[in-house]
Amino acid sequence: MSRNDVDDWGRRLDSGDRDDALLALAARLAANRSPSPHPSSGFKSELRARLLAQSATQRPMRWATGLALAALLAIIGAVALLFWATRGPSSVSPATLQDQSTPFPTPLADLPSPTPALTEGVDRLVFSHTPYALFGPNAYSSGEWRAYVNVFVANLDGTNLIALKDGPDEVNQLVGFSPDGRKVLIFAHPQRIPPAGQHTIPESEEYGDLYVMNVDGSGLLKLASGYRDLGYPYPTAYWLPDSKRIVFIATDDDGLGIFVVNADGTGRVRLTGPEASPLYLLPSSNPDRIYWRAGTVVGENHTLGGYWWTAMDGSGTQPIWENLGNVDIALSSSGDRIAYKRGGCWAWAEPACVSLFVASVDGTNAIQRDWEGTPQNFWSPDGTYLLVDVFVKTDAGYGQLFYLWSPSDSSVVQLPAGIEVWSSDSWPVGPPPQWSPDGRRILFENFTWPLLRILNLDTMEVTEALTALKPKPGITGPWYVTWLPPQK
Amino acid sequence: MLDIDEKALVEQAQRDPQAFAALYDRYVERIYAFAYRQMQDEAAAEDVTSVTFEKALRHIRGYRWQGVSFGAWLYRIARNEIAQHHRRKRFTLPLLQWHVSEMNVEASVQTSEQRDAVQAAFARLSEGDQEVLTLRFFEELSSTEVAEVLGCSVQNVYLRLHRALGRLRKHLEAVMDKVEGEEVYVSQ
Repeated sequence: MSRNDVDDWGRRLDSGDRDDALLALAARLAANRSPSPHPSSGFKSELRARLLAQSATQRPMRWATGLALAALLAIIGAVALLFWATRGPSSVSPATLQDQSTPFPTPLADLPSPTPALTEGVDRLVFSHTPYALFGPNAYSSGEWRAYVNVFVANLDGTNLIALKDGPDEVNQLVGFSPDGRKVLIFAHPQRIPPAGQHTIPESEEYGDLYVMNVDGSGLLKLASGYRDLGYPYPTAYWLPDSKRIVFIATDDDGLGIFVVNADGTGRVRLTGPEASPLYLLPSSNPDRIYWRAGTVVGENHTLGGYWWTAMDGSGTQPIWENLGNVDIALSSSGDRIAYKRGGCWAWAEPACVSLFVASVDGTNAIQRDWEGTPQNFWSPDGTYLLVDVFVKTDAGYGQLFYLWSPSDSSVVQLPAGIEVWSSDSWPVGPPPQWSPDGRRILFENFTWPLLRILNLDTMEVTEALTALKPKPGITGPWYVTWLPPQK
Repeated sequence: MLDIDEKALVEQAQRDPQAFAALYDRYVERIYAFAYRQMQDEAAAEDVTSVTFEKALRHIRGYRWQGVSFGAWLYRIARNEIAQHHRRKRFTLPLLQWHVSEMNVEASVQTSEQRDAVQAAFARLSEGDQEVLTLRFFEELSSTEVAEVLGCSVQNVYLRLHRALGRLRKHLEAVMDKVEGEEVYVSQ
């Protein structure tokens, strides 16, 4: 069904046309709706009285009051702008700090040696894993990756391992790192350790605490409670380019919202109101706009809504990319281009034919390229390339092939053998490939140890990563491996 | 949903929160009905209704900045509250109760079995499908208003409705097949 067909069908629905099986079913559904349930009169009057009492505490805004307030805000704004201009963009005004620094026990007894010091100028990876799998006396149950998870940082080869946040009854997951390579964000939520082989999920798995800490394991600080982490592919927190502020989605008394906070825990500001329903963020280095997508999560069901951007100065939120329809949009790191795919035929056909589009951030100047297979796309750090991850089905089985597409000159390069994944009976869906911060290497990850391979784009050589870590056979992970940028 | 009178009411409530009562009177039944249909629990529906209006009152002065009509804004707040309630409780949604009015019974040519089949097929839909169908056909919002509530484009609403109705039809066929199969089995 094309976009025009959808529009046409929708107009017929709205006009009351029932000359179609689905339109007739819609009419049948509407005709059989139950009568509206009514609240009890007691409830209605009690709530009304309560609201009136609450409204009495909110002073009416008289015109004079409004004008005075506007003048005051203008003065404050001018002062803030002056302050901003002279002090740099990190000066979010301090607000009430809800979560102060929390001492946290770090039982690192499982580590084989005292915490080593970080060395400058060495490429490092950050990843999550269960320490039982790496160091424990008994191999942890295979495939159980949710229980007792830690966050580690290590050199590319797995040496110089440092356990960051550690809690015996927690899941700790990497959220992201600061652009200057000095701090990481960690999501933690309590979880009891299940018996071997069993899998427990806490009641609200996606909600927990957001922490920040230095990459050497020091300076642990809780930034927020009620932080919501949905994991890949839905980022819900990222650093602004100054490495001093963090944007994140969390819940408070007003429900889910987008917040910004300084990395030292001060200056927490809510950017969206209670009517917003942010599902995930689209990180970019644009310090002025926060791009996000609306939606809801109930259990395992995600409902995806439209896209919005919110001004960092609190001046408002606007819808964006409405004309593109219901597509998954990847925003470039620089925040000035987008990529999205649209099916030329049904995406679940085998093989599928899908079009990838690259456009300016306002949705104009779209460039199209068609692919056979089901592509996913990942921007290079500088926004030059899209790493296109194509799922294909051939006589050899189900496969994952990788291409580099340069939309500016339309060139496409298939990446060499050694990184693709084949499976005989199902789609090989692994974690997303990770560009190195310099954009010259890509880390490919699979859930099965030790399939961590790094492709050097200058030499097209493939090497394994974290080879010094030797977990016991049958242990999965590490997972969500991320490059740690060089410290600045 | 946003007519001239309502616009005036909203502006008045933004200047003087005491005027919020008129908006409350206008929408409390609809928001409660929406919450009740989604949760099938009187106490939970009252909770959601209370929180929805309390939040709306608290943020009435800033509501306009997203360009969403007031009714759709209330539905969006209620929808978020319902989602949070589901997350906290993690209960399974019971079947929606379908009370067919006498007028509908007279007007309808459907048999009770067919109505039950539609009810059973509807209950098999995902929560997302149920939600978009509920907003459009039970709450009688326009497609534009549904788009405002869901935070997506109208075209996306059309697409969701089309898909949801398609899935409803498949479920309905399966349910009817089952019913007919059971009847055959019984008769044999």
